[in-house]
Amino acid sequence: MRRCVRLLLCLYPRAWRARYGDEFSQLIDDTPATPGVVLDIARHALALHLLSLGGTLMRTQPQRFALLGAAVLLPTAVLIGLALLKYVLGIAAPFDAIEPAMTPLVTHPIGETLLTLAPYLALALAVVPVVRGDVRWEDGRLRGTLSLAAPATNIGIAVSSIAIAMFMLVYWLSENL
Amino acid sequence: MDRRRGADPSLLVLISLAAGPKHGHAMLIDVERFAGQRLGPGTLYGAIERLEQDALIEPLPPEDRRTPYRLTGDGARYLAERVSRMQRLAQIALDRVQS
Repeated sequence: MRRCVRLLLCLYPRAWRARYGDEFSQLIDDTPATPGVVLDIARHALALHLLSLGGTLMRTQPQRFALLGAAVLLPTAVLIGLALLKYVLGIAAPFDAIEPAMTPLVTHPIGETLLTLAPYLALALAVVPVVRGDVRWEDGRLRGTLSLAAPATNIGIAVSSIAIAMFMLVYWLSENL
Repeated sequence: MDRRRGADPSLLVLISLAAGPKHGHAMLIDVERFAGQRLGPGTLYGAIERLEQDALIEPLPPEDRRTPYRLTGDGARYLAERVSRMQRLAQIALDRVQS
């Protein structure tokens, strides 16, 4: 069991081991090796990896994720915008110009799914990088806190995504109910 | 309802260090003694890392491979404010339960 615990040290990120490795190894040597200890160490190593994996880029450049979300959202936004121009304001020319190219896309199941899911994906790309999470396992319970620190770009993309998703939902309900 | 829910490991570490500097294993023993809660090494170092990042605790020079930690001034103030608030809430809860 102790050998298993010591092997788990290799799972920790290198930077963490460089800072805490010696003292943590000593603590493991001082602590009785039980299955609970093994699970606790494995959980902590995994949490550190998950944080460093997605965390660094998301923390330092959240706007890039928002801009990627904007790119994902753009086709759906353009399509809805031009449809509104045609069917609400009566300006048909822009919609009619792209309709021949768009029809095969929006009538294909994959294209339709992508256009429908785009606002939700864009919302996730805008919001997830600016949410700070601290999740840990304590006494058989998952506990955590969430905080939000969003640049204007991310807020704008998130609001646009929600607006488009809500519009699509209302349209779908009005057509199907 | 789970009636065995433990306290926040960060708070337990701060309370342990309020009695003086300690290394990891000494903290585990102290926490188990005063709180009856056995922290795992990963949970303990998760708390130590967060508290150190928040400058509430700081490491002392290592003794062999054991690194003792101590409360900083901010850590002592934070702990005092937090337990005072908990004490006020506990008193309110007691008054309401007993009335």
